[in-house]
Amino acid sequence: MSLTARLLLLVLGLVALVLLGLGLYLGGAVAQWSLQAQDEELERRADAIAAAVKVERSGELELEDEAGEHEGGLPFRVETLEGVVLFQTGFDWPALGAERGAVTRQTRSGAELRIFSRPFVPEHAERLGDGQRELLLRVAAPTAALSALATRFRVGLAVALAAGLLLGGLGALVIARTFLAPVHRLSAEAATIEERSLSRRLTTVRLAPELGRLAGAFNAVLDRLEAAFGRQQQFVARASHSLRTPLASILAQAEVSLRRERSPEEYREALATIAQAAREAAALSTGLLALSRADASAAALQKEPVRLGELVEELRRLFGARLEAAGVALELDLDPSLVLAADRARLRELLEALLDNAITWTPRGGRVGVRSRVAGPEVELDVWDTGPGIPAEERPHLFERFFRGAAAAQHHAPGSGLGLAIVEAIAQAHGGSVAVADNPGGGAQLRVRLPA
Amino acid sequence: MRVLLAEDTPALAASLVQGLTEEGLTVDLSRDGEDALHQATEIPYDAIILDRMMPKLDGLTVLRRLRAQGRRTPVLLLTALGEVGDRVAGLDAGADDYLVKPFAFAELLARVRALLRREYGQTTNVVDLGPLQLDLGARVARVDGRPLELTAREFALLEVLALRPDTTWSRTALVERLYAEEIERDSNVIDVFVARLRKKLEAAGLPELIRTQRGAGYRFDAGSLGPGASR
Repeated sequence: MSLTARLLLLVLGLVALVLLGLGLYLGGAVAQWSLQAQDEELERRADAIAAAVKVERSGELELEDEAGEHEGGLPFRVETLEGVVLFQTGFDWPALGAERGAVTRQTRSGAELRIFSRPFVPEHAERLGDGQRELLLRVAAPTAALSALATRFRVGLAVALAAGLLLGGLGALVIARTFLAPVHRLSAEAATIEERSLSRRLTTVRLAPELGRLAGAFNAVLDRLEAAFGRQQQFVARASHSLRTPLASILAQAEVSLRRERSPEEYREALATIAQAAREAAALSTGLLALSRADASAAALQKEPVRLGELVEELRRLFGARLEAAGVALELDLDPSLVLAADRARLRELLEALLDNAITWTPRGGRVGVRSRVAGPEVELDVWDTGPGIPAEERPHLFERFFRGAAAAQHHAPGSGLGLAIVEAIAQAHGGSVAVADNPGGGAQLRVRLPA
Repeated sequence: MRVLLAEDTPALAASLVQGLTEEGLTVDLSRDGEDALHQATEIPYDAIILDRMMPKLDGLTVLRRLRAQGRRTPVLLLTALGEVGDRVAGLDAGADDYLVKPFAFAELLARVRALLRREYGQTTNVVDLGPLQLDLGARVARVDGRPLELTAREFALLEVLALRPDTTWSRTALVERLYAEEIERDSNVIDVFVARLRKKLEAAGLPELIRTQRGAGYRFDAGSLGPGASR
């Protein structure tokens, strides 16, 4: 149900409840008050009449007052305490017993009467004889006027209820609209934000604090989204740039070579250049693929128990020729029983990238190594070398994609600037991390921590 | 014609230097922005081919600094970024043209030639000087329709002289136009080339086209080609 409908229903229900309750209470109260008022009036009449009744010497009753007043007024009658009627104004009296005070009775014709009865001592009561001194006075008034009042009150109440519901409903709608207007504005604004317009933000001025907080939170999400999107775009731009560079080399060398006849030696050189650039492009695509695999959610990992010693031995064979060509020795210091819950292929990529990096930067005659250590709930894997180490100012950027140190840029060292980014992505996907440190024996040391 | 190529990718730079040199251009190579800026400030190049992403100083910064120094040398910007915004940034920084990597070498060459033509007030590759015609694209000179057998270096010399007729070139200035920096300069080499060129022109019926200004250098005498030849 929409908020507007809910608010409307709530307001209408409350208005109806309040008006009905008020109506019932007031209806009861008004009935009681008017009855009281009538009873008081009856009592006053009774007092007046009682004061006006005299007993004649004959024992007859006489109203001292002008008779017209009583006849035109409320009907009354006087009787003995035994019920013998001594005097009564012409009226259709219902049957009455020994009632005192105010009672409601119906006449034979069905009209309702309010009858007040009280005993009184008339003037010259001694003339009544039989030792009786008290008489009973009854004053009556029709209740028709009262029930008409009650009916009018009920009609008024119904009208008030209808008006209340109408006004309440309209008020609820206005309130809903007023309260929801900023919400509508925000959702309209949010609807215009797309991939290409991520820099737009919701307007937070003139918003109630609650909505302001909501819009602020939404904007904060947009901030993070925009930053992530920007990084992604930058990455794609860098990737495309990095792929275009070797392609440009290949194309230029091929076209320049084809412009005229060349000696076999020149062709050989040109083809070597082309092959080298093609290798760069291929390495880059492999790196990009590895990176996108590593970026895929951690859920995509196929974890299995991996014996670290075995994996590193595999790599020793894989890098054997390269180590020999580079004149670099590989030293392993691994716990043979160490087993990691990891994605074997990814872990292998991680170690490959680290070893590749270490061998690249280690001069002939140097050493690279892999060391493992269990540290509490984690396994520390150190890949170290005896190369020049990593300058402090480059360390904060070391794991950025496409970051290449000044030395790499200057010497046009092979590499895409993706290796350590891949290492970090794989380590993080496994719930681990990677950090750079100095190798105690000189050179660089990269420490990967993985949950055991 | 002497151009500066500022490109940090070794393989690409080597291919471009080879290709451009074979097309009769004198090419200097810079491998980073600082060096490019330094060279471009020192030597009056006819055109500069500037890679956008370079170590030390990026291409755009080099370009802006050159323009800030008031140097109007035509610049062709090379970039691996092809987005519209990047092209605009390049042109705004004062580039005369823009080429996205990877590009066809023929296109690079055509664009460099276009920049050089503009620099020398030419609208086409064919320079018509009455009886003498120079096709700058095909690197062929003709006298009365007959091709003149010239070496690449001789053609380059004739090109420099013919494109600025009645301008006196010192030997040093000519060496600068025709030789890259690395090559040891000896201004006597110019005398040798001028002598060979004169001999060939004379054989084709155009004596006295290249005059010696005593103590100053050489001058292309457009007047000797007849009234129709002056541009």
